[in-house]
Amino acid sequence: MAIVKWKNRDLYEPWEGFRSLQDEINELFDIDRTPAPSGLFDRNLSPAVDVVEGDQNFTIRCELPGLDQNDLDLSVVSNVLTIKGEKKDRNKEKQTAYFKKECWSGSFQRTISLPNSADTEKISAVLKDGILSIELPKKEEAKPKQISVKIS
Amino acid sequence: MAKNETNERRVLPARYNIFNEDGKVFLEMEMPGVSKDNLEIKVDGNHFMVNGRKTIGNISGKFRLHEIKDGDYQHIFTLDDTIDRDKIEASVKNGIVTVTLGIKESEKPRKIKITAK
Repeated sequence: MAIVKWKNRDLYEPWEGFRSLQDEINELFDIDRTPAPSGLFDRNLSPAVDVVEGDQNFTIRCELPGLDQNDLDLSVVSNVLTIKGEKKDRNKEKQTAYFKKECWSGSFQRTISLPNSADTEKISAVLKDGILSIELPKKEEAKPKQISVKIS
Repeated sequence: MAKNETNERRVLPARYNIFNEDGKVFLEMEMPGVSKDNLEIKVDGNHFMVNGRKTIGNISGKFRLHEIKDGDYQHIFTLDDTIDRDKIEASVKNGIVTVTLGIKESEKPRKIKITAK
């Protein structure tokens, strides 16, 4: 892909609007490419989240590239976990000439209802390489137990 | 879906921004889960290749929500002659890969002095 500046094609081609509509629809079916951050259809402007239930704990992962510890706000209120934050655009104040802009910026919020078996008192979170990992141990009574049966 | 031939891992697109600032071209790529050791950046003639191996770790258990895709980020860009091949720098921080591509001095806009006679 060559680095070529975008032109306002509408100036030269009156039917360009229809072509871009076609492109937009084609893009919906294109899995290998990342959709552009703006366009006709709703974009998923919230970070991707994984919730994994293991035997001993719950692990919640969230993709947050470019976010600092200070940009993030994690809170638990009676079994509802909220990941709040702001993804900053470092060129917002400046008039930067973009050749391509796919990354989104702005505030986001994701709320996850935790099951009753999760121990919200012992929550821990680590942010590394743009991935936030939250560990929640299960309550003792919710963990699988091995009961040995004695045969007498 | 495109697959990496060597390790059968999925190839993921990374969102990226390209912008011009202070006479340099910046390429910012969002690669969550890629650390410095898992990143490979190559310049081969006119091709500029960025490969990032995403390591999010394996978790065993039932996935209640599964939105994060696992795979490798792969992108190939074409560089034109205005980019100085010796002035390419890259850094990675918090899952964002920033590549600075210097523009050749001869390609930069310059003022021509007019001398009045």
